[in-house]
Amino acid sequence: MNPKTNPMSEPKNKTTVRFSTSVKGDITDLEVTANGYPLKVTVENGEFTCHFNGKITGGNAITVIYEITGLTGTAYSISYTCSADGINKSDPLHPSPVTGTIDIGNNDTKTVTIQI
Amino acid sequence: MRSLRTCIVPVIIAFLPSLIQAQDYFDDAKGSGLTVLTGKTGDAILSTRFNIGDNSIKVNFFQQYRLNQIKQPDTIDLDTYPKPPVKPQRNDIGWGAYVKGKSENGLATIFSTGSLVPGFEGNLYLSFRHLQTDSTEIRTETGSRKIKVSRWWVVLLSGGYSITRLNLYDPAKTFQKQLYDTLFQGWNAGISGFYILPVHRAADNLILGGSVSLNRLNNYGGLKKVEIKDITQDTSGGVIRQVTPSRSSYIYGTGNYAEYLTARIRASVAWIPKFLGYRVAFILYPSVNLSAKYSPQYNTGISFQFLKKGSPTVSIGGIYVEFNDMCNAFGSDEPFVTRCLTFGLTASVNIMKQ
Repeated sequence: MNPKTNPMSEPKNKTTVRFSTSVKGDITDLEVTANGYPLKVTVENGEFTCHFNGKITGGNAITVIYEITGLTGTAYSISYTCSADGINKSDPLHPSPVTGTIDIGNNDTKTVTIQI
Repeated sequence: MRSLRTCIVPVIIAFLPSLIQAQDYFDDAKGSGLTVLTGKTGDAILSTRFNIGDNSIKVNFFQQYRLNQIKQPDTIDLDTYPKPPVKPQRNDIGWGAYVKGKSENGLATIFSTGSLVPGFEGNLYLSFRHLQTDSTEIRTETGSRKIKVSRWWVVLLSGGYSITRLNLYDPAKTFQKQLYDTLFQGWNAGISGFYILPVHRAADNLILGGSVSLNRLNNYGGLKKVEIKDITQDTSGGVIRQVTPSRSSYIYGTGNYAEYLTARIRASVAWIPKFLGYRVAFILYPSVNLSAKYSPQYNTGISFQFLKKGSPTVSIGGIYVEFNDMCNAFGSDEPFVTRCLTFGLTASVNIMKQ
């Protein structure tokens, strides 16, 4: 049986991941996925936020995709923190904060990939 | 803990009273409109507005909730990959309320006396918002390409009640009965909505709005106004002292006062082009008022809103030009420019944001 789909055969050396992120800006809506899992997004102090705890095999990567909805021309800033077994991790190509502007179609996508 | 986010305080100055109400997207010259555009799901908005256009102070509250919120497990196994990711539909439901204290005699009397009497208005409203994102192929200068495009629409149901004490002057009556009060009780109910879509190679924003409402109104705003002062003369030691009682130095409406029911139909189009860096919105909002007494009243408004850099939903100021009752259903004997033309402007100040 594939160990990825059978929780009984899950390897014990998985890394514990804590991820927290917030998006600042006058955007209308935000959707976030982590390795394909849709995350619950809430609003705190006027900023979209989401957090998750995860388990991942060492050497694998976490891919967080932000799908931002807002009027074209809206600027935003993404902040995130990630720790793997207590050690801080980041995407070297997109260190926090990641800034951007919705430049077409009332929609923008940003991807952060963190190697564990 | 859920936060309470505060606040944009627009200060609105209109040089003439306006008949058009309840702009669908940005406010009109009368400061009408409902605070739903900047509403984020789960967040609360509290806003306050001073409006010299209709002599009022308005406090608005709005909160929005996501239906079918994503259920996230305590711990996610990031080694398994759900394909495709299951995303629930994005539907939001919201509610809001505003109260408005107004003075028919001018906003200055609110500050000088600390009283909002003689006018009060309260409104409740419900909103429903649907957002959706699709992949679309667009034409570009070099060919075509596939992009993601988001669109959303909002529908609002609103209802409200208002009560105002009006001062009237009828010179045809006997002297003791020339000055009198009347208590006006009005109500409104309506449905409105707007639809946001990208246009012009998906780089510009276009907001289409419309509304239908029923309103019980009065014609006090269209009556001629006169200021009347009762002066008492007092003689003491050879000095004549003139005393002007401030309570009676009110503005009085004179003419044929009437109350009536009006159906109002309005459309609005707002365009936020890329070539101006998303810093200006051009808005056109024609409307028609239908009533048994004054009908039909055709109105048109044009507005230019100046938008915050990087935040096209936030207006930092605006200029309005409105033509109200263009065909003179009201039967005014004033010239066209005096009777119809309204100029207005707004300025917004962000006083607090937690």
